[in-house]
Amino acid sequence: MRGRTKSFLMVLLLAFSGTQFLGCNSEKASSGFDDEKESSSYSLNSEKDEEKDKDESEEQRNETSKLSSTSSAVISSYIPNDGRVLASGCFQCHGTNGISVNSLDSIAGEDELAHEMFGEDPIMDAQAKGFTASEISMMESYLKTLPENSND
Amino acid sequence: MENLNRRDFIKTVSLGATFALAPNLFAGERPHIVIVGGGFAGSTCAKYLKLWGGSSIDVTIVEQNSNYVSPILSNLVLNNLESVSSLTFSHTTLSSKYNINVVNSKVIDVDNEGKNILLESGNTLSYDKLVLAPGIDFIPVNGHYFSQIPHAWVAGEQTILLKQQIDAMVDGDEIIITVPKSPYRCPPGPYERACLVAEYLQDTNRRNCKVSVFDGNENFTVKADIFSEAFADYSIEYVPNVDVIAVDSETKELTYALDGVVQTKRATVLNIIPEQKAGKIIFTAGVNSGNWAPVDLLTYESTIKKGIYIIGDSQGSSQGKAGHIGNSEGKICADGILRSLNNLEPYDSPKTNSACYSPISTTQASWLTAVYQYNPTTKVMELVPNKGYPKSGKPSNENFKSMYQWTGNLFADSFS
Repeated sequence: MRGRTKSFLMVLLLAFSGTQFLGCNSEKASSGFDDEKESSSYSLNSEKDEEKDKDESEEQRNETSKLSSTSSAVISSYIPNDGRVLASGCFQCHGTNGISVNSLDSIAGEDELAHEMFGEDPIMDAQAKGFTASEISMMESYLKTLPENSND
Repeated sequence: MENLNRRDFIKTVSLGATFALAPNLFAGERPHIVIVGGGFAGSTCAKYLKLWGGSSIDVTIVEQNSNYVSPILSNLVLNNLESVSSLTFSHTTLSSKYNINVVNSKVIDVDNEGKNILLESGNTLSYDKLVLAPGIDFIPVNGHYFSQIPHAWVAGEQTILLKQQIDAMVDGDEIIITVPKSPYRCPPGPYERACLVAEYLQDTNRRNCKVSVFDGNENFTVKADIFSEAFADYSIEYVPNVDVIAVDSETKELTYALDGVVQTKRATVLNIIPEQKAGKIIFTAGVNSGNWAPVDLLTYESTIKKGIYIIGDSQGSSQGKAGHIGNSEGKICADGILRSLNNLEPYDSPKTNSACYSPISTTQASWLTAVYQYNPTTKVMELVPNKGYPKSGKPSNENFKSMYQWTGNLFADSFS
């Protein structure tokens, strides 16, 4: 191995808990918020290491079965979510994961999205017109899964 | 893991390639995404890669400056409503909160065959996916020295220099602001600047100063109705179809062509905003076609070199060049990369949005917005048709307050 900086050493030391790695827990991997919680909870404690060991052995099994069915290796942890991609376009104004950092309204947990988007605010209304009813429904389906309170 | 083997193989091969003797900074095992440029697009892409990809990947931002200064709101430094420091963002929050590596170095070269970049520090950095988000570079104007004639189109020192020159103007002096030919970063920006400077000069007992805007385009590039009205209110001279030919940075004399006639004009302050092209690394990496980088707009992957993605102002689509939409592109790209790493097809119907508020005084701002959709036939991001895009809102006090709600969340969504 060639030279590495301290920051990269840190990365190596960080326990990567494999809960969403290789699809060991696809339910958890489907939510961006879980990922965020996870990345803010990196730690070097032994409990985590045990978890890691366990998950890694699961990874190996998954990888083996994956390789037997396909010729190229994949991470196979990523659950694509079209509604999330679309809804992330709301976050510039309404905050990451729908949690606004100021008095503009948060949209995490939003379950009446179309009602909120149209009519009330001129710039929001102007943007809302660019989305189809089915796209708004896809965005709402994702947004309502987002927790309304964030620890950030 | 197959992935690790492939990486080791690549590293071995690269020993014999371009960057043979340079030590490699990266020794991780997970797929590594390197992002060059920590502005709105690059920072957002890095953040969302980790937010959505979690511990399945490693992400590194390579940024030549230790901090990023937002051009958004930077015209308000000129009239003392903002300071450069209040618009300065470090990448330490992204680093600590999302476990993103940050390397402050300039990128000298890209070896896409060996999947390595060479840094000015002498190190290399290996990647599985490379995202280039360098922002803009300028097409030089003859005789134009930025240290004497500020463009102030990359915020920071240039903003301060322009402010100093404006502050030194005395009553009766003239400032000329030139607008580059499209496409350029932040279309409303030059007109917004002219309004704010005109008001500032009036408010600081310099009512006989003249503000002139020489536009390289045939008309206001955006919000023509709003800006022409504001220009009339402020008595700003507006001259369209101006071809900037040369600048004398010492005497502050501008040589330009108007209607085929070459003319010269001196002003106390020249604010020459040159025509623009993609950042230098785009050309170094060989992913440009002409001045910009063509991309597959489902993922922002280069149509010239696989594995390299270009987002923000350097990408070559007709989407506006600005921080808000750069952020939007960064998210589409992040999702596209994560799907690609998992052998999944990209989302086939992405939408991006542009939104911005332009202050035209210390109390009023207008807004501009548009939504773009992917056209599978033409493969371009086009304005969603028949919705009146780009749509604008007239200047108001309320919009001025909303402007800060917008920037507050945009800054946080991009940098923290």
